Amino acid sequence: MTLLNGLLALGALAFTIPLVIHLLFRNRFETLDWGAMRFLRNVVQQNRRRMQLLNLLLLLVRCLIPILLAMALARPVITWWRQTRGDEPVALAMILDNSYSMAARTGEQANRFTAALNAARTIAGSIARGSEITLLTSDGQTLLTSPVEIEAALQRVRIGGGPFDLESLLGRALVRLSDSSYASRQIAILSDNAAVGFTQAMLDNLPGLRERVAAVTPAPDVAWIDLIGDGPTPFRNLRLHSVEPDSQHAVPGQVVPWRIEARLDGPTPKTAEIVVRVNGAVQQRRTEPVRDNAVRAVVPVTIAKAGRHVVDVAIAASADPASGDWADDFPPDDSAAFPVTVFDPIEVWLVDGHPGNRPLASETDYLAIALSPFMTSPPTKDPLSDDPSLAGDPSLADDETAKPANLFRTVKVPFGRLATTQREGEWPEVVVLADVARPSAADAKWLAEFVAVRGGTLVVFAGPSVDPAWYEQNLRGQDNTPLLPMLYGSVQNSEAGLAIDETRLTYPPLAIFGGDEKGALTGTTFHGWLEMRTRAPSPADPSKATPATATASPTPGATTPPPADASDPAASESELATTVLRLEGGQPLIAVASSGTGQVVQFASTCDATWTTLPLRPAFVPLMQRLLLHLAIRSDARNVPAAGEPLVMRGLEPELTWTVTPPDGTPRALAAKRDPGVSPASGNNAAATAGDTAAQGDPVAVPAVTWADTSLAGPYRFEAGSDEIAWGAVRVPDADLKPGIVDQRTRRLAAQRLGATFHPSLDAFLGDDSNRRFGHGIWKYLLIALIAAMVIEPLIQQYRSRRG
Amino acid sequence: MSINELLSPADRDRIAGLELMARQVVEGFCSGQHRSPHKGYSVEFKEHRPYVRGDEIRSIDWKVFGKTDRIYVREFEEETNLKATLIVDCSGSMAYARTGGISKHRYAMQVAASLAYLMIGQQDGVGVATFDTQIRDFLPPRSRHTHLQAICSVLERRPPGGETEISQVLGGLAKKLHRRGLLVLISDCFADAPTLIRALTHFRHAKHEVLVLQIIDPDEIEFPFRGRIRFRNLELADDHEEVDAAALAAAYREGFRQHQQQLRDGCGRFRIDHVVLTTDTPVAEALSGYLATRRRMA
Repeated sequence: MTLLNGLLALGALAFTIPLVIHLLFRNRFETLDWGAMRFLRNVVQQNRRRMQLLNLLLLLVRCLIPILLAMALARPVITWWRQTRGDEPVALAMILDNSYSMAARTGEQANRFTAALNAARTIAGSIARGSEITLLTSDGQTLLTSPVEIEAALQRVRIGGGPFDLESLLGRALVRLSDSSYASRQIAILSDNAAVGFTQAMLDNLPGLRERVAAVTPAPDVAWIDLIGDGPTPFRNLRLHSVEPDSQHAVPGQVVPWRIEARLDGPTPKTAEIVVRVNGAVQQRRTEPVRDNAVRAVVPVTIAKAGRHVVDVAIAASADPASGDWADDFPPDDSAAFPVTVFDPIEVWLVDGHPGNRPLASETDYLAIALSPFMTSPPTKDPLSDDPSLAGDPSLADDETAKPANLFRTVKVPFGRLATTQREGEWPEVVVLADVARPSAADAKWLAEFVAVRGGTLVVFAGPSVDPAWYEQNLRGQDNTPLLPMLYGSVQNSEAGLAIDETRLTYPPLAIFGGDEKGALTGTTFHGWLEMRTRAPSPADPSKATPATATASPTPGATTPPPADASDPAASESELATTVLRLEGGQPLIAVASSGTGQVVQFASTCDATWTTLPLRPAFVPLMQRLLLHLAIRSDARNVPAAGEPLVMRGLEPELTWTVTPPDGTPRALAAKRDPGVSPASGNNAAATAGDTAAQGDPVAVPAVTWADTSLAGPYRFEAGSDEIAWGAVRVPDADLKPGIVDQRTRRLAAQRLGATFHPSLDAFLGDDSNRRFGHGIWKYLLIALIAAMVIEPLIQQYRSRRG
Repeated sequence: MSINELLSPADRDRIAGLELMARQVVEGFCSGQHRSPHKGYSVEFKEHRPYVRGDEIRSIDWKVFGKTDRIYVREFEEETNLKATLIVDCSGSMAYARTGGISKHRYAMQVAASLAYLMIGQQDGVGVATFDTQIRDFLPPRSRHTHLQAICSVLERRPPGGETEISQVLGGLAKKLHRRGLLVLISDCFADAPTLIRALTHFRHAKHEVLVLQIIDPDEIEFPFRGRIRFRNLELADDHEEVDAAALAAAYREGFRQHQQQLRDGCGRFRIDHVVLTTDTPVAEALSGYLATRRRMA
């Protein structure tokens, strides 16, 4: 125990005053001759012992009063035999949760984040001015500051980023503290303890974290500060439940209904307002009634210009007297942004190896029908939509119903007339060769430029007429590499017919056949096909390395094909090609490869019913539409990363200088670098990859621009000059859309496993911290004892007089 | 000491004023007692007076006639039916006097003298006995005026001191009192109340009227003392108690109250008059108050 004002403790000697008085006066009596001794003696005999005890007690209390007063003024603190750090500076790492769940309102302060900021300010104000403070936020920021400059640092923190990852943040904190020169180290965890983050795996990992903390010398004190208590999770919440466009791809001017459903928790307002923005501009504003705790609306959206756009849907309780004073306790789930690709109709040139006059006599007739606008079934169904339940609703208004979209414009081009059919400067998106025996030299040359330079897509269907050797020797790219992904071999036949291997359907356009439309390809048989063999690359030819392998940056969805094994018919990939669909014997059916800036899709079978029943199957239509849309558009319209994940804009040219405007409206330049080693997750300016990024499951790498600073959810505008504008979107992480907090018992358990001290409130932490630094002050208890003694002394006296 | 030294002229006048009331009270004491069949006669010769016409022949003292040739009649003590004995406590406790006040013993002497004066003035017989642990002095009841002086002398020559044994004393006194009469105990009654009551009841059983005049100093009732005090016993040398007076005051008062209650209850049960006289009340006023009360009761 130490005394903060030790000198005042000497006042305790004043206890001798009542003692001396007692000793001096104990033998001093006034003498009185008395006659009624019998009564006096009775009383004395009956009360002698009690009086002695009372007198002794009174003496003790009187001696105790000056002792208590002196000790209380001396401010004793109990330090339990350990050294206290007092006011010396400390290295403090504050782990600040700024994920979206912190936007939930609390009863006392605006929201949990505000509570965390205030707590950070208070903690910073309680430590020595020379201390080091490191703010580690869940969106990845690391801000070095001090108690004096804490406010400026906190101004830079806002709600956003990915879910709260304690392990990662603690690791960063330990790294920072290990470098500190201060002996006193502390970690403070300020989080709302959202329940979704408290998985069993997380709890099981905490002992390991504890060991990591203990391994740091000197080990920091870890404080787990409960900011929220057991307050109720937001119960007045208006949230977007589902937003489904009838079509995620559209042509300019196409009316696409968007089906919007919002749900409410807690007391409901009478009406809600839905606002739909396209690229930031309000296009639709509707007020809808609330029924059965839900709001439903179908809002038509039209985008006039081709390109990559974003549709932002927001919902709020209407500001009308009928709704009253209704406040949403959790705003982040009130809006969401969705990327939409609007494209001009894809021009598809069909080169028929055996043109015919009769219906369905040509090789490409089936394909032409499949790509016609009338082959969307049901009419509102988007071929790339994963929702098979969308169907035409006769109750919808005319503008709420999607019209059949003219996504493709097919042109039949005679064999040998590719170059002459092309108009100056105008190239098609897709060229289909269907059982063309030997493309002419001019066509071959034109195709090389079309694919490698113009970035077009070449689709080659096999057939009885195809000359494999001619294709191998003459259909080559500008670098003289074969255009075809694989070597055509001999014709193969099967009387019974082989079915399609419906396993391993990972190629994006085909993935639906392994999911919601599983079984759609069942029953398709192939009686004939051309053998397709992988082509072994030349080790001395670096150009044979696919762009995908040159990409070292771990962009999402990137797949690095394993080394080729030409002798293994089961090998699915070479460095040039990837088999995306096989027959049930393992024979490649469809192979895909990139060449220059374009790509080539090679079919082992025919485009008509000569060798296969595929064109006769209903699945042929969505298969071909999805395949060609995917290859032509090359954007992943469904790529809506969560906040904190990099936003990969496939199809954007990384050579251009892009300016990115996040949802906060502050434009920032993106420096494109040809550096495959840069991880998109590092730094704020994401590097463009070395030109190509492959989407998940897609072996074909396409150009892409990656933006890593996606802490804010919402629309992102990419601009490179006035003509190049593209929009992307980032969403609030799913985990943060569940703001429910875990119960305090679990929080305490987590803190215990981590080896942290659990503080049920900020005040409790500040009190404990003060005790740790200065020792446990006990002057309050002494003061209470002093007051008690000063009250007891006259009571004893009165009792003695009353009962004497 | 004469009555004048005990009672101031003013007091005496005041006492004298109580004569009529005293007479009535005395008669009240006597009510119900058996009257002597010998009217006019008594066993006690009082004096000779000359014969006047109408005196009874039998009252002529022929021996005096033979000696003097004059006719004198014998006068005897009148049968007043009252012989009062004043029993005055002279133990040490009676010596207590508050600061600036009169001691209980002095007060008792005044009361005794007043009563004697009053009764003798009414030609009642009055005797006195002083005691502490035993009877120290005893004067049998006489009604002569000169007896008053003797009473005062007895009272004066016995200063207070020593312990008290009231019960034992009363027992001894009973042997000396052959005739029924009035017993007036003038004491502070600082003895065991039941024992005292028992002793007094013996006299009641012997048909005596008993009056207890308890002389108390107000300090002994209120116990107004504070601080550390060594109380020295007035009755016993080297006996003392050192106490914190304030601490014991409440208990003392309660003990004293209980003692008084026992006395009152005991006296009331056996029809013994019990009067508490405090030394801060003038004697005449105190007696007046008692006599007035007694007369009302009669």
